[in-house]
Amino acid sequence: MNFNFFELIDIASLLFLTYGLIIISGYVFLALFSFMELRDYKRKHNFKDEVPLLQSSHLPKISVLAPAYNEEANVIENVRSLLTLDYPSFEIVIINDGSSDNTLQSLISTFDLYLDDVLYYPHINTKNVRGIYSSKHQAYKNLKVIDKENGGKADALNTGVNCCSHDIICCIDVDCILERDALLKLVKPFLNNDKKVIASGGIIRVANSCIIEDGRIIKVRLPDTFIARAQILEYFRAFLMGRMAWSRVDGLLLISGAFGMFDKKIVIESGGYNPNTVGEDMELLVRMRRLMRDKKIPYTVSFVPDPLCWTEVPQSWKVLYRQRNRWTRGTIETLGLHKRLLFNPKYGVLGMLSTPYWMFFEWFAPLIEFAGIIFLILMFLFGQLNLPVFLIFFGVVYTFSILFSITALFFEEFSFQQYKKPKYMLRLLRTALLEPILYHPFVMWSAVKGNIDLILGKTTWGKMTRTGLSNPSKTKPN
Amino acid sequence: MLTPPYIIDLPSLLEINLVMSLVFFILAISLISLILYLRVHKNFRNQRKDKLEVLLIDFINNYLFNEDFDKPNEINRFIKNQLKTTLDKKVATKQLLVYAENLKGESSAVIKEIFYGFGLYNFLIQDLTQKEWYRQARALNVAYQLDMDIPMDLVDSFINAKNKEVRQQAFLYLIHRSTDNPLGFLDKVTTPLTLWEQIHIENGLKTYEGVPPDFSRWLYHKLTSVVVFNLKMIADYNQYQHIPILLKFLNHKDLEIRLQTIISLRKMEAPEMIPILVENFSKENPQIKKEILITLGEIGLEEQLKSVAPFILQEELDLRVSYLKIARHLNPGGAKEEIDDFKKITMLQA
Repeated sequence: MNFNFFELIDIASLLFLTYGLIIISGYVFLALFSFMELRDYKRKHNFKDEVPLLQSSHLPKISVLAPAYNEEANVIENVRSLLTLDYPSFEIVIINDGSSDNTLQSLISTFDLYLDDVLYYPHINTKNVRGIYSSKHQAYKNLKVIDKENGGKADALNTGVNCCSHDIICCIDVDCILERDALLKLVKPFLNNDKKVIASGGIIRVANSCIIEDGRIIKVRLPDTFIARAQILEYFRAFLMGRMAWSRVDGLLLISGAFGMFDKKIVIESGGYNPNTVGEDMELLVRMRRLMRDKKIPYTVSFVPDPLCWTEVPQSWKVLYRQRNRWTRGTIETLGLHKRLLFNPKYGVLGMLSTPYWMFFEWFAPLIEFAGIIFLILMFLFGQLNLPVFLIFFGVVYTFSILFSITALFFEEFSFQQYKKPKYMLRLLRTALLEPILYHPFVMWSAVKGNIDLILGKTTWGKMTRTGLSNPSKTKPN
Repeated sequence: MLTPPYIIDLPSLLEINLVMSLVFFILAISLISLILYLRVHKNFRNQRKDKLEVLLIDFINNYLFNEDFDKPNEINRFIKNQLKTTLDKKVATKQLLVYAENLKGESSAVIKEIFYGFGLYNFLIQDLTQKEWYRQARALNVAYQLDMDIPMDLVDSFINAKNKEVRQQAFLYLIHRSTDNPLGFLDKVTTPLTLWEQIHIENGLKTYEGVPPDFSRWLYHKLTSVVVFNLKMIADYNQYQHIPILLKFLNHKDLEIRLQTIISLRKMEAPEMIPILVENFSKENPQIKKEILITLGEIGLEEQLKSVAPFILQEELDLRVSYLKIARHLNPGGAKEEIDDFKKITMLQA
């Protein structure tokens, strides 16, 4: 090999510094804006109780859509929990997406369902609906179960959109645990905004190891496994920092598929969820925003930082790999489908900030990191690796990674402080120190593999096995 | 020199990297310290709050129920020993609010007396005159819950405040403090009411002890949202005497007002509106057409429903579904053929 080592180092350093500076400025922007948003939210909500408003008959009716595929084990408990949400008028629509187990049968027998002749117009094309069920019992009158051929999550949600009765829809994962006042808090932006609100999203919290009774979180505990704790840090970074900041500048591109509320008319007008992408949640929101922009209607997308929805995160590396691989493919597919937005001033913040951010920080970042690691290995193989230089590079990346996680932890401490025991905070700090070395490379590799799989034409979701959320009888006290 | 030679000889870019690592490290340590400080600070705060709450409960109970309690001296002693910081004052206010919520009549007046005695009124006025919206909103909320007199010109200035929270709290205060005109502030409102504000006002009216206002007073307000709100309230409070005005509103030029008029009249089960609705059906937009269909389903006849069916346009598919559902509701066997036809069409389109 005939090249000047220090020249190469200089070029690599320059590239590294430039990219690093862009990333740092991006994260500083996120931190500042999310801090302001969190502070304002806390100020707004720390002195008043809005529960009495639930007595109003003028709150809009909401359809809660929850697709279920092979959920036989938990679906009954989950539906019972959903039925007890505090909101004056809502319906629960469970969409059985062609389950091969007894999901439908258990729903029919438990809730005494009968085949109902529900009339609806299929605005969005979906797989065949085999039947719509309602309950004979008054207690379950707001429960509707749709049985359809298997078509994936997006198709199931589209069926729900077609068949549901109300103008505001709340799309959730059936196994999510919602706080009792989740609907009221999520619908508030729709009612208290000068602009038209087309969607509002909420924070997703990690439920692993928490104590759950009757479908409600009664005690928040830190997960026992490192992999779940690392994901808590990731969720803090993504929600408390990322989405809060994007909400501040009205640049949100993603509302989690696990918990989001939408204006049904706009969803239908946009064409519903795209069943041909694995990132259907992000793709829908981008399409809705594009539609509003193209029609020149002032609108906004809102975000609520309260811990309203709890979910189980992957506990095994294999499942985590599949999930991250899919997220990456979903991001690239969405950016590909909406490439017109990129650096397009016509789309304002969406075109000039949000999509470039997603491209550089979400799509490219793992690829650049991976290239850096390959470069490092090559240097080592050719005997060109200078240990002090490597340590300096490693040091700057490592310290920045932990700084970012610790900032997110600070936001959690400043805002909701869900992990009250001091030992939880110390364990999270320890996780923040280990995560860049033990966890992040794996996530990066899953994302790189997602890129490769997309090129190879992989379009499947990948099986998402859950270990099941704990209940007091199954978990040790912590 | 103690510095290793490979550090001295580093290219400048690497030096920058080294400095950045140090900066990030120092920032991370600072943030960890801040987190620990926050945790300790919150713990101390909570401890102080818990302790003060116990003292306050004891003090208030004595003040309320102990006849031998030397009120003036004890109040001064309590202020001197316990109410030293802003946090102490906030905790005291909160505790008094808890009592105010649970006590009525004379006891409630005593709670106000303690509030004044603690000098918290000045604290409240101070907050109200600050420019920070969250302090204004909080102060208004306290004044509303404790039923405190505050300068009306100050409250009036908040009716059209830029911040919605301040506006909302001002509305609640004015409703609560009014003796005969709880919605008088609507005359001064120049900013459209959001649906959330409307729900707050509706909720505030539920606890209003006087005679409910005549909501028709604001039916000619220049803001559509105010008119819509009052149309809702006319139905909620069964003010049937205003049905004739509402019937005229069925031809109002504002779509939102027409829409709410139909809903309100339907709630009041006013059959007089049916001929007007049938006549207007063909001219209306799909949203209003849907409300007309629902109304016909609830208080109309099958013939009236059928008479509007030809005016449901080919592309108004949701409306067609609503029509069929209502037709089936009115006459379960009657609409079977139409429903079957519709199902065939939708299956073909799918």
